[in-house]
Amino acid sequence: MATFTPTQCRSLVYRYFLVEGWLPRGTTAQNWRDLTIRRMQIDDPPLPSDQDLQKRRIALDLQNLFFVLGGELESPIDQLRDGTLTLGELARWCCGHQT
Amino acid sequence: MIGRMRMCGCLCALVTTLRGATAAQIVGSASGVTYDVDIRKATEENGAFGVDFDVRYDRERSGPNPQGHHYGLGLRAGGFQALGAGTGDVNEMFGEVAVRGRYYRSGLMSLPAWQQTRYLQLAECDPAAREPSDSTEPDPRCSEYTAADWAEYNELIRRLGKQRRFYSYDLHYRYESTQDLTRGQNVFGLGVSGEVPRLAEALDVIPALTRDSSGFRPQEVRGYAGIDYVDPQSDVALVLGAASPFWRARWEFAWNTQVFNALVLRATWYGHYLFAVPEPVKVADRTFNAFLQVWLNYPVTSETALLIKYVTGRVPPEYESTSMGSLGFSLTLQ
Repeated sequence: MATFTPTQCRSLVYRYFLVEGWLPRGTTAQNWRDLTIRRMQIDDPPLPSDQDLQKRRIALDLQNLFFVLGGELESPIDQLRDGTLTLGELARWCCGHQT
Repeated sequence: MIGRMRMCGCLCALVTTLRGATAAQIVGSASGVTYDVDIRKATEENGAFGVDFDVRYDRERSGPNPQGHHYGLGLRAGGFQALGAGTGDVNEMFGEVAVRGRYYRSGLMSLPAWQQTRYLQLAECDPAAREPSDSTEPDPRCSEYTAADWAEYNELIRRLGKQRRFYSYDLHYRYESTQDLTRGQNVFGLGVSGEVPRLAEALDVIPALTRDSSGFRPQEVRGYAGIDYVDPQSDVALVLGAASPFWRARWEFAWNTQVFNALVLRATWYGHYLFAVPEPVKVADRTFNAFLQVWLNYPVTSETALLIKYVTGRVPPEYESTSMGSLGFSLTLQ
């Protein structure tokens, strides 16, 4: 299994949220690192019986993206539950939790 | 998993409420436990102020390849505790244990080695991924990539969403009770949740007219449908004196979109249907109960916002037919 560089991790995380349409208006290639999970309104409002539905799907998407490129990523579901986490921090976490 | 205690996720919002809005909220997660505590008024008209809480713990097994079925266990407790006068609804407090399964399948499957290498080179050259503080010269090969190469890279990500199948299913046991825990009911059931395809596109037709083009794309409507076998321990107010078991269908839908470029419009529709209920329930027309909520936060300053909310339908805990608008100011402290 390959281990991706921090730059590759940042690129994969940024491109994923960009292409999937999660980035709110005003987000640019320069400021995306400071965007918090909460601002993307994931699972907002939550389904009472499955409050993390979209977060789980995003976690699986990211794991799948790493996997098809030859890497292996722990599930970032707990990170996605943290509304104050920034995308830059999420990318750093992904880079540090390749298995 | 977050390996240390993290009091992150702390958003405090003070709201001057007219009806049914959040007054204060604390959300966050630590070591796999996610908590959400709201101080708010009960949803129904003239509802009491109270504490709405939800604490849950989920663990799920997953292998290196996320495709296929995965299973996990969830524990959850929640409810609404009114300050002062309580309400007689047996759904106000609950504890739940659930075995959950997830199915995930994406159109993006394993790639040949040469494609992996190519995409990773593109990722290494991605200008958006360069640290602002990085003053080193980029690899000269990076300048050789054209717009077509970057489009191809984006297409790789887009393939994740193509032919994607994702849904969740659960077997659950819940104990639902009144606020004072003196009356309750055992609930055994199963449910399935997922994203409803295409519906969001139809719902977004009007909101899309109010915003200009940006990277934002409305996400799919999320839905949950379940069937429960409900066994009341004693006569409970919700079913008007019937202590005999009955079946209940339950559904939840939630969605959000952006309007006027910066505002977030949120909507939920919750409901349940009771099968083979006793005559008093039919007479009271309580077999089908559902309500719709739509709300919008309009920022006034960076810390305050105007909250506009509309609720219609049979709203718990009394399930009286209601249609009402709400208006409030919110102050967010972070």
